[in-house]
Amino acid sequence: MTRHVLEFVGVSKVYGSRRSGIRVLRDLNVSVAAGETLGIVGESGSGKSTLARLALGMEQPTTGVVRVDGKSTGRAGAGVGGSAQIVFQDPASSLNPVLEVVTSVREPLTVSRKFDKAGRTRRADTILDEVRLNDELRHRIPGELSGGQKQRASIARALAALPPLVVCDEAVTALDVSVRAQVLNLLRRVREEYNSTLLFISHDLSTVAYMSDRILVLYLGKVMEIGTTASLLRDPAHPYTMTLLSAVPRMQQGRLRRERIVLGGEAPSIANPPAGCPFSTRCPIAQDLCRQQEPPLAPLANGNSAACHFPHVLGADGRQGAVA
Amino acid sequence: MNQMAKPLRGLSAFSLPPLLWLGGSLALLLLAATVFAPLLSSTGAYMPSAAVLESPSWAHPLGTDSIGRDIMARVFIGLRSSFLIVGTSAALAVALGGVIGMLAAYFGGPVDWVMMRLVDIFLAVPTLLLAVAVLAAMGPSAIALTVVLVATFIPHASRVVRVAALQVTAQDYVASARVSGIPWYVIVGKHILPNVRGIVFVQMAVTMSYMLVIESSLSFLGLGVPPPAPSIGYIIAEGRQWMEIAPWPIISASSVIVLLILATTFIGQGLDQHWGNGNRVRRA
Amino acid sequence: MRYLLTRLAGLPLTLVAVSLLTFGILFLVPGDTVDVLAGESIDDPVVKARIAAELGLDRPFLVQYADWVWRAAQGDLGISTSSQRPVADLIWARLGVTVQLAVLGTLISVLIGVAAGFLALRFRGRLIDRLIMTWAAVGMSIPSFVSATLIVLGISIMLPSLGVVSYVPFSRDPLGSMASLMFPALSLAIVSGAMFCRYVQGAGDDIFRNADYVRTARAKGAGERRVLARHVMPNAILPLVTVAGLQFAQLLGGSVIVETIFSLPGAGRLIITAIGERDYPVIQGGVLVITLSYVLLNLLVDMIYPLVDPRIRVGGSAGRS
Repeated sequence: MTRHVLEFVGVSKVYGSRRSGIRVLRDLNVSVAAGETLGIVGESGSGKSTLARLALGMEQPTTGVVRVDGKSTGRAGAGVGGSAQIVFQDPASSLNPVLEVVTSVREPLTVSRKFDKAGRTRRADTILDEVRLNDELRHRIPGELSGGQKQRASIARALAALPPLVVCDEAVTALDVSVRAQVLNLLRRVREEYNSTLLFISHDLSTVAYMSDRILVLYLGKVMEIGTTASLLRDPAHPYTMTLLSAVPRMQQGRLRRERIVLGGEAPSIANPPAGCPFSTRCPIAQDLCRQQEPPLAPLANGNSAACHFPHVLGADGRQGAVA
Repeated sequence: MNQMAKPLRGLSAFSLPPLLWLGGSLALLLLAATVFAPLLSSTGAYMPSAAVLESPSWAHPLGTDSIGRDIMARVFIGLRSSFLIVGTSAALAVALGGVIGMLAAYFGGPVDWVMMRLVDIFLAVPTLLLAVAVLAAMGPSAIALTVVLVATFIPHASRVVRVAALQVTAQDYVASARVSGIPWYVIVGKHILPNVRGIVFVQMAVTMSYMLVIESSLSFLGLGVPPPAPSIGYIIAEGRQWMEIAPWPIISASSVIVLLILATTFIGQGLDQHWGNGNRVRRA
Repeated sequence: MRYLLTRLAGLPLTLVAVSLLTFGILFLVPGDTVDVLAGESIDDPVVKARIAAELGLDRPFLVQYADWVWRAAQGDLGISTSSQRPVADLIWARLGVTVQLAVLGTLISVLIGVAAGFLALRFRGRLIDRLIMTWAAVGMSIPSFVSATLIVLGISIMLPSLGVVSYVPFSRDPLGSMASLMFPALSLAIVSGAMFCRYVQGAGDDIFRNADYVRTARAKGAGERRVLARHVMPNAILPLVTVAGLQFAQLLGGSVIVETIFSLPGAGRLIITAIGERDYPVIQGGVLVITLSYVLLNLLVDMIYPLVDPRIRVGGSAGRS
């Protein structure tokens, strides 16, 4: 029986009253197995930040249950007591500016009673070695470090206490492209070393694909498609997924080169979602059925799942195929 | 093994703004005067003599008052008591107000709401008037004065610190600490407090300047430190009787208190400039 | 709008707190309350019995407080222990002077402040600017009793022939009344005016540097003076209206000092005299009236602000140009 480190069971999150509030996340049912990396892809407004906060226990689901390492998340804001850690997007605000880096990295270790003072120092030094922050750098304050160095410090802090789950919320988005690759590779190496379970969130599909075993595509709070990275990239089912893929030329697999799919229509606001499929306002192959009835997340032949009435219909060349 | 970045790390002497230099040196000068001037005085602040209402001379550099006491000694001892009372009160008011502000900012929600409503009530009332009434009732004394001053200025200080603390609480490293399960008192003490340090010091200086105005006004009305202890306001009040023929008490006492208020104001502004105006919260 | 409602909702609470505090002052006095109220008749058991019965001092605090509030709402603020006259009458007779002083003080401060600020902006960077701003910085650091005393000193030295200028009631001679308040108002204006000056200069300077419509006006070829007069000043002065309102309330509360120094028959001085005579009903009544006025004025200013500044109403940041 695989152990699941993170579970979302029937989770939805509504801000405001149940009836008329803003539904930021809906019908989320996904589990992440130990040692697996689940990637979350979504644009702003898709609900991915809320998903991260739910996973960390910083917020409570309106319906459903979130479980980390078997335990459901407690009172709002109480976190999960160290069972999950996070690497943030903004290097500038992720570390306390008055503390030396090594002190910040040691902090999560003070909670669990596994380590005494000497043990904490040793552990911090070990993890800082792993992220290649040498002795001189680790005694600096954040203001004296570069963006990439700060992110490495954040990663060290997140992994220091060996939490069951690590959430990376746009962890490399704020970094220069050249530094990005470095940090991603470092992340992969460390993940390998500790067999960590990762929730990797980004708006950039190529980054997510590079890091993840499985990918979940999120749009307007709903899961559009979910599946293994390999099959998702080779054989996308949902028009939205295809759109995301078409925007990144080097990710096109298969013999036919895809034309870039350009979306029409207006992005709907989360406060006023369309009836039916949330993507219907912009989908190139949207039909009346799509606008009226919300498609459920249904399993596909290749083992993935997609929430679409017409999966695989949008042709590989971007043109509309025959409607089933 | 220093965990905390040395407090002076960002404070190299040559990059301090001129206002800070000006205010700082003025304050130090006055402070020194309060220590040394009374010692140099020939007759001291309490000893009456026959040399009544004299103009400044070598024996009495600032003249004498209506019962022959040396003005210089009286003025600087009065300044000393102002320094002490206001210094203590300002430190206490900002410390207590700061704690309230930080807690309100960190916990948010109903805690914040309640605290800020209380603060609103305090801010809605005219401070001088109530201070007058309370001191009149309690009977003036150094302790009563300190209590009234502190109570009057806690609300404003808490407001100001709260704003800065809110910015800090929104930073990711606080969220990270929360997620790790760090207890609230450690977060407030180790993450929030050091990062609002700048605001707190500026508030102390600013509060001191306001308190000096109120303290001297109160002692002018006879509600400050009780006689025979000299206080600036009281010296001015006494001096009014004879001011046509002997304006020296009024002039010296007024100059000294205005200089001190200016000094603290400049220090406050200088500190504010140094630690960055729109950039209150230290970013990594 | 929401902000306004929040403020209004807080009003009853504030009123209760203020009245509670004011009433409670009496109980801060060390010693027996009846003795305190008896004042000079402290050894007369008849007087003390009357006081005790009249005020019901054996009842619980909250009952006494409620009774006091009830009576106050009907205009009965008790009897002065030194003059045996109704407190309300004493205050009412003097409130006019205090208000008059505050009005005059605010007006003069605004005039001085705006004029000085204008000059500082007009001659930016030059000597006049520096002089004015130095005065402004120093002026704000002068306590009102110092400025008032220095003015009196200045008058006695430079205009000894002026003698004592006593207050002329408004009803008798409006103009002369204002004139008799000139110096007291001036002593207030030195301090407040400095503050307004800094405000105007600060706002104006900020507009000069940053506002788009200033750039536009310059690009259209407007000269500096025109830019200043038609574009910068109106926008700099706008927030002043509310600040002036707040300052007026502040002067009401701070009237105590100036009235004492210039021997004006105002409500503030009444309170100070009462303090000397241990006349607690007067102290309570006076503090209550002035504090209430202060609170209500502040609220009024808050309510007026959106009306005055169209930016707040519309919710944008367009300036008048």
